[in-house]
Parts: sequence; structure tokens; C-alpha cells
Amino acid sequence: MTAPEMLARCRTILDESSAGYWTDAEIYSALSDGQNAIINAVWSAWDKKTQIAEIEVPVVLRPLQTVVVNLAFGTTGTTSVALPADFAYDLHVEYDDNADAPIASFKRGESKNRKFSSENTYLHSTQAQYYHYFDGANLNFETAISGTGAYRLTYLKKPTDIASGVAPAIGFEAHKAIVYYAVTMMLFKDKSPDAMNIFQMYINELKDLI
Amino acid sequence: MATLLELRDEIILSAGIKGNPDFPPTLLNRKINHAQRYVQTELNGLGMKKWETSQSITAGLTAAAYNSSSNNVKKVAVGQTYFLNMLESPKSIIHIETNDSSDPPNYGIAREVPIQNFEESLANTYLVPTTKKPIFIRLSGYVWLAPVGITVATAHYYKAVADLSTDASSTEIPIEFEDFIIKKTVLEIKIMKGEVQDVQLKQAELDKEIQSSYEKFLGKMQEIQRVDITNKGKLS
Repeated sequence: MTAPEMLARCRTILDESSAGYWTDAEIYSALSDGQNAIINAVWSAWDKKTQIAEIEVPVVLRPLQTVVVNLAFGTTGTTSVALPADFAYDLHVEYDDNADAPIASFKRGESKNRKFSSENTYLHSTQAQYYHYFDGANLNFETAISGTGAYRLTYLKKPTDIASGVAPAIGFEAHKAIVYYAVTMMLFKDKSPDAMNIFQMYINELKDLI
Repeated sequence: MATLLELRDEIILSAGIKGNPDFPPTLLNRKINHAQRYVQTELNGLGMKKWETSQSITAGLTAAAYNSSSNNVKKVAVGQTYFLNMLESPKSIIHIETNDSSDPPNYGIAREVPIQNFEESLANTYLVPTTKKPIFIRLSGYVWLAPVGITVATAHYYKAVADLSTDASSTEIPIEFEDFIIKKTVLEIKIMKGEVQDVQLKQAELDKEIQSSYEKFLGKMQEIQRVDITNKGKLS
């Protein structure tokens, strides 16, 4: 569905063919919220599952998959690089501290014991086993660059908000769920008891995506 | 023979630790080397021929006085230079070939003797060792060789399996028992991850499995021997 088609679908369900009680901007905003809610829910479920067994990224999230490659960045001593502005969730990182052939790097998230691990003889970052972690705005490498470094970051990007000229960023599989989410929000505004029914339809659609 | 990289990759798959930051290559390499030693120990007395090695210790021979005011023995330190990677069992040294560099040289095979016999041999005129009949003991981190006239020596001993250090290095464990390196390492990893309920039982099962494999291996050897005997019969 295109964004205007989604808007039209919402208006059909709401039985308001043109902007009145619910403005177009309001509905587009709810559609964007729906898109984000679906991405977060699908990611969260997938992330938990993938810790138990290796499962590929759900189809619905694939359009958000992005790769950034930088084969010559930083100078000796550099340990971090700013995350892309549209960065949402990391998938994997490859790194090379002194050449342009990045290898898979282990993710060791910030925790109370991260420093102990990074100083352990067997768990510290070396050229044979790189470690990285994320903070709010940066991708950090535990092995500093010597010369120039190289990295490849594969991540899921934040979607652009849905608007009249901006189509949904995720696959068609999720479009119905986005519409149901937006309609639910509009009906909440109206304090309509139907809101819960539509929300249940959203949940049913979401289940199929996870 | 599997390389370190091949062993590590198989272990990663078998133990389900792909991308797990708590099990990086350095740690797995260490665990693999421990497992190699475990397998070697389990095979001790079974495949000891595999672990025989020899090394010249001539450059390490130093004249020394043993229970005497004058130099009456040669000694050589056991460590990273001489007797490299020697197993620490009491009978690790098989024997030491010696000679005295005379013209013609007097060759001898030095045998290990109990410490009391060594002292008695040095002190007793009639028992004093000669370059043709040398003796040695192991004491305080040294091998003590008598007589002092020994100038050239080559030691034959049992060595520990060499640690695998580079990804391309291959294990010395016989190919028949290579999978036990993987099984032992995977077991260790699962113990670390808390995935094994009864550690002692699992370990006993692994020991039994190695023993059973070894018995099968011996059975194979007997079969080869039988065929050999049959062939000899035909030839005669």
C-alpha cells in the first residue's frame, strides 16, 4: 500500500471519507507510530529467539537492513566511530584495526563486568578476536586503531515517518497491521469501544509477523 | 590431521557458541590444548611410541661436583632448552646416548638408576661408571650424568603433545582419537555454560568412550598382525 492508500483505508474503517474529526496529519502520525511499534515488537521477539537459535532477520524487517562500510577511518588510537543518524538496531560488526580487511567482531555490551572481561587474558580484544560495544551515539572498538582502521556495520535503520509522499518503510506483510494500529489510536481519541476490537485485529496481524 | 582452525570451528558448531563473546578463539585454543593433553594422558601406555623424541643435550652439559670436592659428574638443566616438552612422569627419559669424544670415541647408553645406587656408584671404586657404561639420575631440576668424561649426549624421552599455536598447526593426536579432542572441549564448554547436569557422569562416559575406541584400535592392530602371520605362512 502507498501512504495515501493507507490513509484511505483508515478513513474507510473510521467512516470519515475526508479530514474532519481526524486530520490527515493525525492519521499519518498514527501510521508512523504503528510502523515503529511493529518494528520494535518484531525486533524484540526476534532478538530473544535468536539468542537461543540462529534465525534470520524476519522478512518484514529486511527492507530496513543497511550496511555501512568504511575501509579507512580514524587514526592511531581511535576507538570509536559515530553511529549513522538512522541507526536503530545492530545486526553485526566487522573490524580491522590496521588494514582494510575487517573480520567478525564479538559484541560485548556495556555491563558492570565488561571491563573485567576486557582485561581477562582469554577474553580481551586482540587482532585475532575483536570486541566492540555500543553506547548512545557511538560504535566502540576495544582494540584501538593502529594506522587506519576499517569496519563494516550491518544494522537496521529507523524508518522514515509515513507521510503523503513517503511510503511505509517495511514490507507489505505489515501494512494491514499498521492501518489497524492507526485506526485503534484514532478510535481511542473518539473514546469508541470499537478501539479494543480493532486493537485485537492489530495483535492478530502482529502475531503473524513474529 | 585436523588443524587448530578446523578443530575450533567444529567445536564452535558442536557447542553452539557461534558469536558468543565469552568463548573467543584465544580461550578455545587454550581449551583445545588442554583437551589434547587429556587425550594423550588417556592414551598413555597405549600409544607411547608416538610420543618418543630425541634431542642433543651436548651444549647443556656442565661439569659439576656431586657429593664430592671435585667435578665428578655432568649435569644438564631440564626445562625449555633441553628436554623440551618432556612429560613429567618419573620414567620420561628412556635413555641417553653418550660418548667421550676420544679417538676412537667410547660410546655408551646411560640408564637411569635409583639415587642411592648413583651415590654408591660414584663412591665405590669397583662400581664407578665409565663412559661405556654411564648412568644418570634426575634430581632438583637437573639430569646428573656420570662419569664426568662424557662430552656428547643425546637424550631420548617421552614428550608432551605440542600445543597448537597457529591456526594452521595440526594436532599430533593420532587421527583415530582426534574427535575426542572435540568431545572433551565441548564438554568443558558445556560445563562452563552450566548445561551439563551430571559432570562426573559425562566425564566418565567420555573416558569409557576413549577406552572403547582404544580397544577397537587394538583389535584392528591384532587383525593386521593376524593377516601378517597368515601371509608369512603362505610365503614359507
